Amino acid sequence: MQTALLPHLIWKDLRHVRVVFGLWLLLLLAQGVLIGSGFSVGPGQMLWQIAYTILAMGIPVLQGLVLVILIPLLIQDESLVGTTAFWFTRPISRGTVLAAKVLFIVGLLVIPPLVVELLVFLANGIQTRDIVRALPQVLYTSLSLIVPIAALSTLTRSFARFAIWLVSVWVAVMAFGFVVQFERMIFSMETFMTDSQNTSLLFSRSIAAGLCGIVGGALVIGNQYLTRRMRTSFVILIVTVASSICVQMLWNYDFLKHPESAANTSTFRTDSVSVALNPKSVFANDALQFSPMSDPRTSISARFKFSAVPHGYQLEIADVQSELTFADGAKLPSGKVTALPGLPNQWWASALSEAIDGVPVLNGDPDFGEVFGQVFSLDTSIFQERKSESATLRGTLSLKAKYLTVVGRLPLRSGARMVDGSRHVEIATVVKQTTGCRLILRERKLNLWSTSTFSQFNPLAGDGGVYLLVNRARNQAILPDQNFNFDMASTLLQATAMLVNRSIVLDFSGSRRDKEIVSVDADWLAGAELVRVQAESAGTLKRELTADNFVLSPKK
Amino acid sequence: MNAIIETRMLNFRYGAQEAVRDLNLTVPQGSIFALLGPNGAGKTTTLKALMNIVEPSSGEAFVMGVPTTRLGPAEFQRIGYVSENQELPEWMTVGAFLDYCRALYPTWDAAFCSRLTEQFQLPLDRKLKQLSRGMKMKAALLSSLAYRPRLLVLDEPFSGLDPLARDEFISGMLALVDESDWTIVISSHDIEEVERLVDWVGFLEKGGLRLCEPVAKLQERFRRIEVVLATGAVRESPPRLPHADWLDVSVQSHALRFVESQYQADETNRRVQEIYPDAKEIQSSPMSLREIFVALARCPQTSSLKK
Repeated sequence: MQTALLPHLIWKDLRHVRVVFGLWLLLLLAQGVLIGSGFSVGPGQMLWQIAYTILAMGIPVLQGLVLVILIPLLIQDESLVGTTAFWFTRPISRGTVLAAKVLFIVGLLVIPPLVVELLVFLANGIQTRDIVRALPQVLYTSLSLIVPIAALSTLTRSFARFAIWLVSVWVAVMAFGFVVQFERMIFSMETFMTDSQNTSLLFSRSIAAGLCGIVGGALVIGNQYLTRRMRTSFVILIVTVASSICVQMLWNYDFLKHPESAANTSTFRTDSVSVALNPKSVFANDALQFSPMSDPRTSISARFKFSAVPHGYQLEIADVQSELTFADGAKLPSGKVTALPGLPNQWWASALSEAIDGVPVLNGDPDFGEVFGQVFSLDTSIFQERKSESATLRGTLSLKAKYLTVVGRLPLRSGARMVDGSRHVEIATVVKQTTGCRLILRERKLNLWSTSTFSQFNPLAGDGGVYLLVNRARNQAILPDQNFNFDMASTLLQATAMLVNRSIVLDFSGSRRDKEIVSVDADWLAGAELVRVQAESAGTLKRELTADNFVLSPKK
Repeated sequence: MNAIIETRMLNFRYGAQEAVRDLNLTVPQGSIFALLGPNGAGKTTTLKALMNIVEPSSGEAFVMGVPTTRLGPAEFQRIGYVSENQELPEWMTVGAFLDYCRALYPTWDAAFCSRLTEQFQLPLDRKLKQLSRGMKMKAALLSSLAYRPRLLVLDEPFSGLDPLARDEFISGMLALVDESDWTIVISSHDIEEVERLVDWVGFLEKGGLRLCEPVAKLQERFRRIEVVLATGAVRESPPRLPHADWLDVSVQSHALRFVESQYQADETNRRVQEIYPDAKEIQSSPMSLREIFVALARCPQTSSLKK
């Protein structure tokens, strides 16, 4: 390799793409300022939310589009296709050109986003541990865009051809993905839901497929520069696309263990935990089905009552395997029961109370402590035949245990702050109302693959946490009202940005189902504090369930 | 004879099509060598194989003693290559382009470059994409001359140039030829233009080499012969060529015309007398490269034509 020539080649490339590169750099800085400044829009300001969302989501899209122009310009200036490129007969080795391009891309397209994100993280008080976790994620995000574009650029000699190839490959992959997802939605709702999990190290398919694309793309680039054998490069490209699709569909290894399986259960004694089903709570409804070819099915749901759950813990159902035995001896195994993963937690008042040193949660729903879930699935024709018959239900419940713990306390005043790891929460506004009060919180946190779960869509808390107002002097605590103040900006941004600033509106009226439980007046608020309780995974357990006199559709 | 370029049984195929077939070519060092042939003869493919732009299907080729598949930066610092289809970095100005090239060549002669820039009347501040085709060719040529290469390869350099630009180009080349001890290989189907420049010629046809020799020798052995026959009898063209070395034979009225490809005055006269004892007069006239090229193109390939 001609090391001495590298600066010369890189400088030449920089002069060539200076305008587009400048635009890209400007967009990068704008995004850094926008996200890093901590600016966020309140949930009520819909117009501002739309403007902010367009800006905050549009800038990364524009950045991507600029890269789609910049990288082919960079690569195709020393085209690798055909026989007419100027540099073929100049004293520059292929390895030198490859090294110059790699150095340009790494030095000017990969490192700057890393630096900007690092500055944004530091400016927002993100912990070193989380920064170390986040930087590979930033690197992966950059490379998963840059490498495929660069690979296609090495296989084409003009931007027009590159654009045609890019659109063709993109349409082919999207069409294939759509067909696969549609097929799964029709024939396997469970798989579809599993596949819909956010990209994270806990649901690693997308990351594995992306890595496959990065490695394959790098091989195409290397092969093109070092051998210029187009056929081999095309074979590598096709294998890469096929592998990525297969990995996206079939990959079953997750890079991180799920918290419940990784959790230390030694402190959680599960021996005495038992579960019972309330036969009177059984409820039948038509199962949601997308396939017009499938026979109609009926879902049977019921309330599960858990006993002897240790204080401070709550349980969630992960899976149910059940079978009915009718009086005539006929046995009917259940079809696949859909356990929707990661839905917002149902908070158990008893566990919450335990977490806040035994202070009762006054407006906790009485149903808390029980779990309502699907227990059986069968063909509607069989359901119609047997719906009134008494049977014995036997099943195995797979359960996830969670431990509730306080992770932060804030005095009730504007500007009060709490830091929980890389989550920064500040009370922006306290609005005292005639019946209770409204709090607007500013929350800032990192969207890490190692921690993100489906529950982040919970508009009231997110990330397996909940806020309460606790008045210790009066030994009273209240949960916020179940108002749904949809924050479009933060919800959408969580899907794209690593650092998310969002506003949370919490209304504390002290009522439950429009009935006042406690008067949240100025005196009550004077002695109150805001507490955040977090659910941490504590492990998994299985319990056998038997319910005699089980009727699929009991008369109410 | 020191060869700067040598090929041995070189073959190149595009799929099933043979572009170059069993090519054994030798280009002497210091020569100005024209690789001639009609369109599709394999000239450009041969040069691309010699420059390691394409890899031969089989056979060997050497440039400056190095196998062409191993040509690298060290060799290309001594080779200049200009092609009609070469894609230059058109976003650069002429000045920036020359600056860019200068860093690639340790032997870059800045004074020579300035002189050529002036001679070629190249505007340094204009972008390459704003130049005419002729000016681009001049810029490419300049960037391949300024480091005084040992070997300069020009692939169809006159293609697309107007007559004035061609003349300037050739004049420029002629002025430079005497200055350096270099070898120039020019591929062209425009024979009249290269005739002024070259001293060696190779003729390619359908991928094969039909002849390869010095121009002077070629013009010495190729002569147009006109034989005036006795009047009275009606003459017809011979049913087949009396000698394999006679090309493009025709009889018109009382005159026999042909191209002798192995001209030796006495021997040619003897052969004519053998067939036409009543021949009254035998005239021979020298031929231009273009006339030789046309005569060769019109007759089927025979091995005896090769020297």
